[in-house]
Amino acid sequence: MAETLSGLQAEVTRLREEYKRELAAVSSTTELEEVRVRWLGKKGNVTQLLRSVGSLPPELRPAAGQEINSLRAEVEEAISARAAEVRAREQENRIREERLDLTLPGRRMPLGHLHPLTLVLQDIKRFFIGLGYQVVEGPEIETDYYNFQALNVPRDHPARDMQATFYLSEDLVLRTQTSPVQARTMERQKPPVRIIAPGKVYRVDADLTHSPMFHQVEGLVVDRGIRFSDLKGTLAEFARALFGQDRAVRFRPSYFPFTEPSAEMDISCMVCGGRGCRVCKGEGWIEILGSGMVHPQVLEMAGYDPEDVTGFAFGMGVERIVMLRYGVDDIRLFFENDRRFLARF
Amino acid sequence: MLVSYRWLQDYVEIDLDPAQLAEGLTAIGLKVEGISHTEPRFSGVVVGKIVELQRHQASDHLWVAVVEIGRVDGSGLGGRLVLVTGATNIKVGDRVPVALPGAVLPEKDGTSRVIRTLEFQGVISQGMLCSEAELAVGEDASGIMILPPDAPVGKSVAEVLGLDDTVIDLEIYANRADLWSMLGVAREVAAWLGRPLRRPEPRLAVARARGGREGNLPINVEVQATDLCPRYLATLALGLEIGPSPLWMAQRLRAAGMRPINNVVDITNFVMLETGQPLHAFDLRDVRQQTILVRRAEAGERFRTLDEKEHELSPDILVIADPERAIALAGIMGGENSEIRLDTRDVLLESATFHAATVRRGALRLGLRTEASSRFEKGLDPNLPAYAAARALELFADIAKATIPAGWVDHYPAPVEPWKVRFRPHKVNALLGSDIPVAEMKRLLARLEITLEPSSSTGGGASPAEEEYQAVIPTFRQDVTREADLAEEVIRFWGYDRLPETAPRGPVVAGRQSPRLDLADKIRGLLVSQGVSEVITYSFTSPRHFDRLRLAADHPWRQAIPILNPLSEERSIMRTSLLPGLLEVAARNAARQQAVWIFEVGAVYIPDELPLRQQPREPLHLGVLLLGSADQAAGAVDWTRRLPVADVYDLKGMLEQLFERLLIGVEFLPVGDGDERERLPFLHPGRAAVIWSAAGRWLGYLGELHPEVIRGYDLPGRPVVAEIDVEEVLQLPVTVPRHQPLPEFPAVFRDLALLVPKDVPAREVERRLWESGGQLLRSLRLFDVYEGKQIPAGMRSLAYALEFRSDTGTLREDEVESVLERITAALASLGVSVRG
Repeated sequence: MAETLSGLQAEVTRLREEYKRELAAVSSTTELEEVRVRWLGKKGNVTQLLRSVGSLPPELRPAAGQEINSLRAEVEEAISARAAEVRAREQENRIREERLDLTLPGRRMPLGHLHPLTLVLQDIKRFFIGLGYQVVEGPEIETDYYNFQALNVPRDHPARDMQATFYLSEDLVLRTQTSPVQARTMERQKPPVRIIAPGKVYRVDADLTHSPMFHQVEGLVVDRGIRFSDLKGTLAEFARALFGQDRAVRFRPSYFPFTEPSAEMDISCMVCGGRGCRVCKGEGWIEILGSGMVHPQVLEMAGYDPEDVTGFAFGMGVERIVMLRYGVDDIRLFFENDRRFLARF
Repeated sequence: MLVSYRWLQDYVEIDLDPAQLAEGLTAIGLKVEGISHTEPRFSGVVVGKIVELQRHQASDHLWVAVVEIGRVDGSGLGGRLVLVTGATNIKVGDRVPVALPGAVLPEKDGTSRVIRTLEFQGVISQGMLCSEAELAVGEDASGIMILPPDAPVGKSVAEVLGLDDTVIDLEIYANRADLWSMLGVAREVAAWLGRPLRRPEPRLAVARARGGREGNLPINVEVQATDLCPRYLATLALGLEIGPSPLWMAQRLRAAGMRPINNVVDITNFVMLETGQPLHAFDLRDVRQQTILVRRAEAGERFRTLDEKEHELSPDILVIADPERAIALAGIMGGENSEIRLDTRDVLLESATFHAATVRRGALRLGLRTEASSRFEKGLDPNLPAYAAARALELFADIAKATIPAGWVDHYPAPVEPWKVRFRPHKVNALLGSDIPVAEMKRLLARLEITLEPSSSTGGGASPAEEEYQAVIPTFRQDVTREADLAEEVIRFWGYDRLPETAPRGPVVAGRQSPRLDLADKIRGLLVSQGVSEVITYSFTSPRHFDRLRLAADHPWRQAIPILNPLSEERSIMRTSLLPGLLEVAARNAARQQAVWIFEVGAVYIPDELPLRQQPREPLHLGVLLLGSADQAAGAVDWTRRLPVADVYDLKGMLEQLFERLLIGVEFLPVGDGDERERLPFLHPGRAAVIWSAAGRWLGYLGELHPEVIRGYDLPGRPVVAEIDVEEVLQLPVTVPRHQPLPEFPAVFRDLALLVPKDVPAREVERRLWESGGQLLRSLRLFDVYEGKQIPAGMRSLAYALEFRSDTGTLREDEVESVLERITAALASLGVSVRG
């Protein structure tokens, strides 16, 4: 312990060398903390030296104190500088060690799938809701009247052959189309009418492209001044919305007992772009839906005056649209519900 | 209908290739279903003219012919060829098919052979003269085929015979009976091209028949069923020579998909294809008393059609008969007892109109859809029979060398006249959204033989906006009865593609889904987000499920609506529950070692009574089935962890969350016995619950499947199922959440481990907790259920985390303690004690 000022100064010099050496040897924050305690703690080197000032003559004490305090400041600064270095190195090492292989697959929350028919149905509904249509339903078990007669198909009409029918009684059938909702809606409300009606329909038919149960979406717009060109505008935009803006759309004359004039809508084949392929049977066009101006007879039967109001109606098969959109080639897959099939959508 | 491109050219000049024609047909509504090219089965055969014919000097059964073949394109051959033949039916001047060296001819077995130069006892034959059979264009193998005298020498025989053809398959719509004919199609093509229609005009007076009897034919026609036979025209052709049809006619029949039989039958078929009017030729010998009766069949009357099938008839079937027996099914098929035979000399030709629905029903019931019936059932023009009969008789005379006695017997009491339809061009433009000039409309309609007469009501001075006409509709257009039909005719030929795309005008209305569809979509979204996938199964099912589900004979689910004409027993009744469909899907997937978490939202069909008299209820149900673990079922298995196999608690938690998100209060209760709907024999009795709304309405059930049901469906593990009546859910009040201010003061948490007798349900314990906890108890959460070591037999431990809080200040320890004391006392009365 120094008893003279010069002795104290020599001690400070020695300590200065020593702390530098110790700090240089530090390699972790734990070691650094040990150094800090050893030098700046209550029993640390610098603290002890400061206590020894009391043994100096009073006139030397201020200078000695100053000397030691400056050492203390120096040590503090050196430790904090060193601490930054050590922490940086440690962090660097940790980061290196904590590396994960993110090419490994992620952890998944189990999530279910909507049935592809629902997915497409929801797209269809969204389009028409956006245009102010009401989405309504009708019974699947229908009377002969609504399924046929109110749609201008009396008994023994040849058009009944196009739709082989399941019968539940002489007068009750599994509806063969969603069109009965047209008549039911018109009976229930006055124009303006703007509805679509999705739902299940049934026909006695079963092969690769026909299922005894399938889904249709019916549409009906009735008001003053509804034109055939409105049908064309609405449905062409629908086709583009559902199948892409670059699809060409074609309307051609057709026949349905409950519309006049009638039209079927085709889109350019999405597989070959219209050049002709297996999907479009070489035609370049794919039929999407049937439509037409509501037959005046149908309007009359529903209690509307065809001189006053006109309307258009349309109907489409949902399975067909799903098959085209996703390239499904067997309609039975929809109702087999194999998990691998459902998981694709 | 099959339309031959070549044949169509007989009636209208077409300067488009078949593909362009097909496009045009589609554009005017004659949908092209397919285009096929027919090709001859031979090549290298040209028309030759026999210029010399001599016996072979070294053979008494061979002939040597010198044949002029002119210049054959692209072959270098030309001039005269020497050919050896064994045939004896040729003479100098005949035109015959010559197979040149290198020609390819078909063999009967489908292969082919190449013709070469061959030596016949010293004479070299430079090819071969061919029979019909050798070219596979006919049956005749008896001699060399004689070509028409105007066949151009040197020209390809395939071309001369018109074998090179394109057949367009058209879809004809049910309202256009007139298009089931070449002339009908040609009329539309002519209208589209703006060219004249070349309709053959028969030279016989029959074409003018309009009812009544003309001439002195020794036949009688008596129509008894006048309501089913608006017209019956009978004529005679005598002294026919039955034989094969000329090539051109045979070719046309073949192109239309019919097999040539003999000239008489073929002519009736040809005229049907040409005009759309089915004809029938009876051997006059078989028409007893030379009298035709048109009558309803007698009940039980037996009849043998010419396809040699025996039928039992009924009075809803119309027959053609003589006074002794039926000889044809009107409009459907002739009888074996009066068909044309090889020795037929005289025929009675029937050209008639029958009631469409009667023909349709009869053909359907007897399983006899014929070319004739499919035309009659669409409703034919009663003015067509005279034209068709005249055309056929003319061909009988020209081709079968028949004598046609003048006159006819024509039962046609009420001749149909062209009718008039109001036609207002401005209304038509308004309906279409078009701006087609009146003159253009007139022109388009005129091409379809529809003429416009100024309407008397408006006179000449009407402004264009109110011009009104009477459109005169030809009787073959039975589909045109209203202005809208005329609008379609106008736009069909004006062009659908020329119509603008417009948007409907009208008031602003917000689009929305019905609440029912909306709820269904919400449920779908909530279940998908919980790892369940949607399935859609058939609405029809099999009654066999009921036994497999252990349903008693009087179980309400057995009251299912049967389908009268099911595809199979598997799909013979309408479902009364979604469960069977889900079980089938689970079984199908399980057979492929696939776990499934599935749900379906769909209707079930509940009749008020059986047999069904009125429309049943179709309530929407939700069905859920969980089999295996969530990660396996969702295809979300990863390498970090395995999720447990689903049990009833997974399912219950899922439904709890579903109802919470739907903002509907429900209660899960033990299965009772007070309600029909609580008969759930397909569930494990100890692992099932029923779901009621807070207001006491039945919502459904959930539970683990009964072990016997699991075995019955061959399922692995212990699947759990639930079914909810969505229709009921739709009726329930929705509690719209109100925002509560976030708590101001801290909560105090206490864990409480309870020793509970096993027969006390947790629901009871929780009810006591809430009752005794008072206002300060804010939440309770079960965090552990334990049985076993340190727990006395017959007891279990339930551990709850309780949250206490006050809205007026921080809770003091003693306040909490006093509530806990109250709770402990309340539980004690249940036999529940607080552990440790």
